[in-house]
Amino acid sequence: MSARPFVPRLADEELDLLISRSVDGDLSPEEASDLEAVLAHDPAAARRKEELASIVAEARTLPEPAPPFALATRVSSNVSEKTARGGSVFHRFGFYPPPGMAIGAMVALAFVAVAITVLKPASPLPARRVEGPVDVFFMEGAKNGAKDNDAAKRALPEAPKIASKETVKNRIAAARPAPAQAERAPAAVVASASALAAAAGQAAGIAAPAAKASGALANAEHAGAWSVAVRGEGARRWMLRRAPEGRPSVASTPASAFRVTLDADGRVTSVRALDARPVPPALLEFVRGLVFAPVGAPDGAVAEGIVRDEKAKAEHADALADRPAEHASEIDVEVSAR
Amino acid sequence: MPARILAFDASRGEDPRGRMAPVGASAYLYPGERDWPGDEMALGRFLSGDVLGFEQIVRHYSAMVFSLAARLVGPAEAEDVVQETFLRAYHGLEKFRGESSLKTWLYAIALNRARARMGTLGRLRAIFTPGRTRDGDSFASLDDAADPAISPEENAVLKERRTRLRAAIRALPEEFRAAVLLRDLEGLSYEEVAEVLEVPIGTVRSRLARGRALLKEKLS
Repeated sequence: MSARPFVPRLADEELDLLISRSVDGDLSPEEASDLEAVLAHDPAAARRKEELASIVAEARTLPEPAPPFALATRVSSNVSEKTARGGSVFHRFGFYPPPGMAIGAMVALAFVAVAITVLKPASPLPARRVEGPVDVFFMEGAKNGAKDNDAAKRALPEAPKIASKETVKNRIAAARPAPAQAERAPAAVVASASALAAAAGQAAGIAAPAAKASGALANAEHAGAWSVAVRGEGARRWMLRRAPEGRPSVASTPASAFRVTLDADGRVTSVRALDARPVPPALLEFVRGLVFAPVGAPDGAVAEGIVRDEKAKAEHADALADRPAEHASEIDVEVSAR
Repeated sequence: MPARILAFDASRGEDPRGRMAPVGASAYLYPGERDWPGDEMALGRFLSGDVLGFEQIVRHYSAMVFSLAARLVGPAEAEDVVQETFLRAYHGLEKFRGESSLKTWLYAIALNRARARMGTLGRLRAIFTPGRTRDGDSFASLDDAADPAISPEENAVLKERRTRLRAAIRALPEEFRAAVLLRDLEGLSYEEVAEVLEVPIGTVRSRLARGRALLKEKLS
């Protein structure tokens, strides 16, 4: 009785691996005997080995591709040429840009530049044009006011006060530092005119009229808010430049509407009350003392105008009556106190 | 003083008295310098500043690198791959540590350059390059010339079988194709294939077995 030979059981992948290695002569003696045992008992595996060995043998007889003429010479020449140029910098990092890549890179850069330009977020919106009436408020300062200019300068930034939602909008528009702001927001012009006048006064050693006006505010006996509003179409053309120092008592001043005639310099030449009720003389005088400026006048011009106005203040009262009504303009003004 | 001659493609056995190709002053070689001195000598010569060492390396290995490149990307682009391979080798030889042979190092570079050409960018470039042949056509020139020792009918059958075999090899997945090409067509040992592919020998064995099995399926 003869012993049955041991035949290892192999999966297809294991069999393929052994066959592949046997073709290359890579099997150990034990592995070779195992494979022989399998092939002896499995005709399909034996056939598989024959086919595989045939393919490998055929692949090994494939002729080698013939290199082109003078390949080594061209390669040497090319290498020596390219290593002598700046392009070798790319090659050192394993980058071999084809000839068209430079053009492609330039096109891509141009595309990116155009895309950035197009997709760039829009610049901040210019100050919204304020349509219709614009209120300018004057908050009366502390009761025990200081008469010196320093106190007036300290009070200056506090002069315009926020008193309503509409004014908040105007203040927001006025706070935008757009160059065209002065042309579009009269309220902003008034505020900046005061600041410019104060700055001009400091530089020239002259007390700025706006600062003086603020000082007058500080001297007011009654605390409260003044409102001077240009109404209607006039708001598009005129804005308040300066209010007179002497103001009527807040408590005694109800809201009143006036139609005023302005000369070319923005000074009031005539005042007509639009309300039926009687107007206090102090309020009427206050309105007469208002000075307006054309909308769109440069800040510097406004500031200079304010200084000039202050110097000519004394002459103005007399000249007012005799001044011809050339270039006169009528606007509606509403004055109120709260 | 020995007469100076121009550099020639030694791999093709060119006659220096015949087709001469000037390549610049650095490529002038003395008779006998065209003999391959071995990796170590050529490398040492190059590293010592003698550019002729690199010329010798190019002459010795360019045909082998071309063979692999032609089988990977086709003969039309193989020369470009060879150029890039030796250009990269020129810059990298200083860092060559000698852990592998120069041959497998060059093969590894050539394989990477060929892969880059076969990648997305390479395919796009092939599409937009005027006059570029189709993939199948680019390998057509690999078809063998007729063997005068056998009949025309046998030649036709042999050519057909070889064409099918090449097509089947090209159709293999890249990892298996590289292993089969390097082992069966380029004749590298398992260890050398492992160096080129930078994988363990066990992986080379399994890739070869799997690649050959796939090849058999495609041809049957």
